Amino acid sequence: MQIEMSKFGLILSCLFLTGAVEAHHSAALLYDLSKEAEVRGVATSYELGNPHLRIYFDVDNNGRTEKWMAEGGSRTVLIRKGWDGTEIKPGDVITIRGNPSRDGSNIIHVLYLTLPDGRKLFTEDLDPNQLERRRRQRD
Amino acid sequence: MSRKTTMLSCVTGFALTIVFAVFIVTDPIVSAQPDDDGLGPFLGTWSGIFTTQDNEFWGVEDMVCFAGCSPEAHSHMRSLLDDPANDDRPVNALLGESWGFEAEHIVPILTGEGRLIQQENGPDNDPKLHCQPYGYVREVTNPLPINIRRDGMHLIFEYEEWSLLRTVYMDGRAHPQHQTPSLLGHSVGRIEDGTLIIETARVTPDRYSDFTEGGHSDELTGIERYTVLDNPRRLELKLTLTDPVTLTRPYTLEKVWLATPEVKLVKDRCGAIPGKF
Repeated sequence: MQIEMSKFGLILSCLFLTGAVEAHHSAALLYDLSKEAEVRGVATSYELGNPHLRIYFDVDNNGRTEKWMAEGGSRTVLIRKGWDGTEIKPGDVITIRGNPSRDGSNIIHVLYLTLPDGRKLFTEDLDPNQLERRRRQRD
Repeated sequence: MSRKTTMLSCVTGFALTIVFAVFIVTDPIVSAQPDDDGLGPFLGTWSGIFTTQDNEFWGVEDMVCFAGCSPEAHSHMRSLLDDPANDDRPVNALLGESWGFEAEHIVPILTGEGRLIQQENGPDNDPKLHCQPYGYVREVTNPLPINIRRDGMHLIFEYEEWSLLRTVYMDGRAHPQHQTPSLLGHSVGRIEDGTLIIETARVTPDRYSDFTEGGHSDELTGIERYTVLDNPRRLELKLTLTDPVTLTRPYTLEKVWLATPEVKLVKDRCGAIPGKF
């Protein structure tokens, strides 16, 4: 399904990437890593499982409900960072920021998750800022 | 008890102790010292860049190989970083380009059958999305920590990824002539000049990597060469893959882990995939 940006009753913006990292497999196959988008919706289910974190959520597109899936980092990497699989409950209004799909389908490579209480969680395996810092050190 | 009887008991006891000690020293099973077989340096828990990102050892170009990569892909990323024309491009865009390079890099060495498999494979039909653990190649190069330990004279590789265990037989045996292929196959190992060499066969068909989406047949054989280096202490793998069905020549992947004795493996669990996703 193509994203109709002008009709979206939610935030959706494509930006040049300011720094992102890789999921367990090559996110480059499914997602456009050169862009970022932001989507808000209502969580329907959430899995902190292998190979990746997955969040399923409904998005209201001008009264029409669209099914979305957000894919993030590795289960055990996130567990080491303190995740336990209870971060999201069905019905939570969440905001997802990440890389949009290459083909316009309703999937997104999530980098940041904003919870109903305003907490913003980094959802990937590696810290993008550290990668950029090391790159500059290399110069 | 008379003094003579006591003396006789002492002498008999001493003699039995000597005999028992000689038995222990000469019995190869009981007397084997842990490091005599050269396996000692390889034992322990090792972690890739996902778990050790803070370590200054890692360069940005190493991110390309978080799940193993060809030496050419690693060089490709380094060349992108060295090119001033890319200074304003985000790291992730460069990584994506190098993974694209990896996918293209394998094409010239694929057979016709190998190319067909690559074309049919996609992110949507990846077995891992249906809770099927990785096959041999992806498991051996997976990005999560591993623990290597002894099991008698053999080795156990415990992978955090999918929580899989793999036995590597170190007693000189050959691959069995007939064995049903399995996910991780049948592995035999040996030490040569400080390198741990593991040969694997009898694997079920699976993918070479997420990057390439190429797939191999059950005729695939793999040779892993592990070396341990210092400063920082690390485990380096060179994996050479041969498959007459899908490859016209051997395909090589590399990967590095750092020694992380403080890391405990986390129990892995599959994530169910409801709906069309």
